[in-house]
Parts: sequence; C-alpha cells; structure tokens
Amino acid sequence: MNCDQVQEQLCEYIDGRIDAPTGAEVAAHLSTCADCAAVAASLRSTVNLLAAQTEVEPPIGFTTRVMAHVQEQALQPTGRQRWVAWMRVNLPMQAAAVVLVAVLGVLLYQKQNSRTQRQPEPMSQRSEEQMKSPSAEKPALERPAPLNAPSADLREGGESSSRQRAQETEQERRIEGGGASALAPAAPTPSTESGAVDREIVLRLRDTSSEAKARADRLEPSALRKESRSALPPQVQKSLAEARGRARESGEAQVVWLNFPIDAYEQFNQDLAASGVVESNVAHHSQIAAAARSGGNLRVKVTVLPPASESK
Amino acid sequence: MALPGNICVNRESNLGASAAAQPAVSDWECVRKVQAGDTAAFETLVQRHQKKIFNLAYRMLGGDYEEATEAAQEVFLLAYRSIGQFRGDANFSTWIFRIALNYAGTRRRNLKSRQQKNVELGVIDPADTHTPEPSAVVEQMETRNAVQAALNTLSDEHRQIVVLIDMQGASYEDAAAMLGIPVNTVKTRLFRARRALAPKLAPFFGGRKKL
Repeated sequence: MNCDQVQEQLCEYIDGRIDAPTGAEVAAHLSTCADCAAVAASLRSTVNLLAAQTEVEPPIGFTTRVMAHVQEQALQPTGRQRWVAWMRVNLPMQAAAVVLVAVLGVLLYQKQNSRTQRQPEPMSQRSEEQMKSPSAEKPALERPAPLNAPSADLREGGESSSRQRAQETEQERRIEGGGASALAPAAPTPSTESGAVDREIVLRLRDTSSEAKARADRLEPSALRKESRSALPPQVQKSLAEARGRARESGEAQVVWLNFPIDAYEQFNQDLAASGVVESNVAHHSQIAAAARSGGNLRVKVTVLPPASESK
Repeated sequence: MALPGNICVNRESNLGASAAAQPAVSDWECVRKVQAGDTAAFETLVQRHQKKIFNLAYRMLGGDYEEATEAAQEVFLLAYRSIGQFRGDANFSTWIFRIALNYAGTRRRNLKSRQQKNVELGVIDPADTHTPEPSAVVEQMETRNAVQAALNTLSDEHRQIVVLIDMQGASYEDAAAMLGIPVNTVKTRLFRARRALAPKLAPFFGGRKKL
C-alpha cells in the first residue's frame, strides 16, 4: 500500500470504520512512513478538536416560539382547503349561471323557431304598397276576419294611406253587408265560431286593354290549358270566375270564400297567376299545417280587385 | 455572533437518542399524529431535534446566533408545512436535516453581506487570538471562535461534511443520505475538509493554544 492509497483510507482509519485487514495494512505503512504518520496525527488532532466542541443551546422559549408559528399556520387554510372553500362559494353561482344561460338559450331557440314558422310569404310576393303600410297587413295576420264581423281593414279603412286600399275596404264592406249571400253557395262560409281562414289573398286582375290585353292573350292559352287540367273542384272554379267577372264588370273589389282540398292548392295558385297579379298572400301556417296533417280542406279568402285601369 | 454564556452543553456522540433516553413515542408515531391533524405532537419533534438543528444552522451560518435562531425556526416551520409528504422512507432526523442543510445553504447565499462580515471575523489568524491572562473559559471561547473561523473558510460542501460527521456525530451513511451523495463522495470530501482545517487549528491541538 503506497502513500496515496493510505491517505485515502486515513479518515476511515481514524474514525475506526475500517475493516481489520485494511486497518492493519494502514498501521504498518504509518509505522514506516513519517509523512503519512504526520498527516494522520494532524487529522486525528483536528477530529478530536472538532469533537470536543460544545453544542450551542437554542434560546430559551425556542419550542414555544416555533409552536406558536405552527399553531398560526395550522389555523390558516391550506391551499386545498382554500380551493374547496372557494368552490363551495362559487360553485352554486357558477351552476346557477350555467342553468340561466341554458334556459335563456332554450327560450331564444323557441322564439326563433316560432318566428320562422310564422314568417310570411317571401317579400317579393307582396306589393310595395303593403310593405310601406304594415298596419294594413297586421290585422289580417293576427285576426282572420269572420264574414259577419267587421274586418280589420274596415276598422282601419280611414287610416289607410292608399286611396285604392280605401276603395277596396269600402267594397268589402258592401259585399259583407249584402252580397255575401250571393257568394255563399259557391264559397262555403266559415262559421263564426271557427271564423278563421288559412289564407287571405288579394288578387289584382290583369288589365285586358291595349298592350296589356295583348300580353294577357299571349298568356291566355297556357292559362287555359292549365285551367283545363285544374284539380280544383268545379264549384270553386266557378265561384272564382264569377268573382273575377263581377270585379271586371263593376270595377269594384269582390270577396269570395273558397274551400277546397289542400292538395289542389298548387293548382289554385297557378290559376290565380293566370288571371292576375297576387298582391297579397297572407298565410296562417299553423292552420295550414293542421289541415295538412288532417288531410282536410283549405279555406281561402280571395279579394278580387279589378284591373288597375278600371278601378273606380 | 453573540452567544449567551450559559447555553453550552456537551455534545452527544451521535444523532440518535441514547438507549437510556429512548423516547416512549417514536418520531414516526409523532409524524403520523401530526399528519392526522394533531398539531401538539409536532412539539415533541421540535423538542427532540431542536438542538441538533439549531447547532447545524449555527455552524453553517457562520456562528451567528440570531441567524441560527431564525433559520432553525424556519426549518421547523418548513418541516411542518411539508410533513404531509413525509412517508417514513428515511428517518425523520435525516429528513429534517436535509431540509436544514438546504435551507441553511440558501439563507447563507441570500445573506451574503452578513456572511462576508462573519467570514472577515473568521479569517483572523487563530494564532493572533490571545489574552493577557487566559482563563479556561476564555481559552474555550478562543478555541470555539477559531474553530468557527476555520469552518467559515471552507466551502459549503466541505463545511457540511465536517459539521455533520465531526461535530454532529453522523455516520458516513447518514451524511450521504442527508446530502444525497454516495458514501465514497462523503469520504473524499471529509478527507479534504479535514486536511484544510488541520493547519488552521494546529495551534489549538492538545487542549491549549500553542503560541
């Protein structure tokens, strides 16, 4: 064992933590090597001096002071406890907020849905006049007029901005007052109880004079062809044709109530388009849907207006 | 570095309690009680380990009594805060010594200016410390100051080893566990630390200062 190897073992040798054979080898080397022996002696004296050092006493009341801090900390909530407390306070509020948002969402969705269902026909089908005076349209949407009751148009007739509209309502009043019975056989009158119609249509008859007449003639054959294929009951076709004739002859608006199978509605529309311009087509969708479900008839109120040039 | 005159007692030979003073309740039982919410059980642990922890802090922090008091107090508070993580894999003393060593190292670095002041005091040549009429107490004080001054010249790694093994009586294995290093590294560091201290403390070998 050389000096380096011995000095590596010196600490364990001094501390008595070395195994007996190695300790004997170190002791043998120290007895022959003055340098290593001096180092060993110096280290042993250092260890003895350090070991002889007395311990320093902590200050009086050290434990009490530490425990006071510990108790203080024990009373403070831990991070987890703080989190649980925060959740206990805020969780109900958050849950309530979520429920509120969900309820509002459902309500908005339902409102949007019902608005979509009640949405009237596309704007392109309405006359500009009606778009400018929504007050004339509103009563028809909200309250279908029974035959015997004064219509909303009648009540608001004086307020109508359009002179033509005023004429129309005037004519309607006359029809409802005396002419209704004449139309009754052709158009089954809705009972006052049910009172409602599925659609209210205003048809402006096409002008048959001069250029308009020529155009109408061009349209007539196809219209006639369509009419010949019409699935509308003959009585309905007859009532509609009579109303058109009266409107042309008298130059006044004619109201006719029609009742036909809902399957014939498309054909009915084509017939209307062939004879004039639909100025207003107000649908009561819920009732149409009910009729479609039951496979029943459609009730339509048609106001036939004379051609613009003939109206009084 | 103020030190009360009547606070010193002889050091124990090792970190563990002697057989005669074997506590009725083990450290582990106390820890379990504290973990279960019995704060009072922590007092037993404080009383049992305060002296070792305080002396470790005192030696590591340059012999500053006030610093050591604050540091030891903080070490116990740190131990209390993290006692829930103690699973009993090591001895409680090993665990809290590890906390103390880490904390003392951090505190020493953070208080560098104060530490420098202590080092300046410590680098005074121990051979120059003399009194006209040395009594036994004064000689003891001189030796203690010289030892602390010599310790202050060591690096943290070497000081830790010397304090743990030569002054606190820890085994090589305990020191390795506390410092998280292999036993062979402990042996190497211990040899170098002792070799560094020996010439500084040589004047005090043999019990009396050699002029």
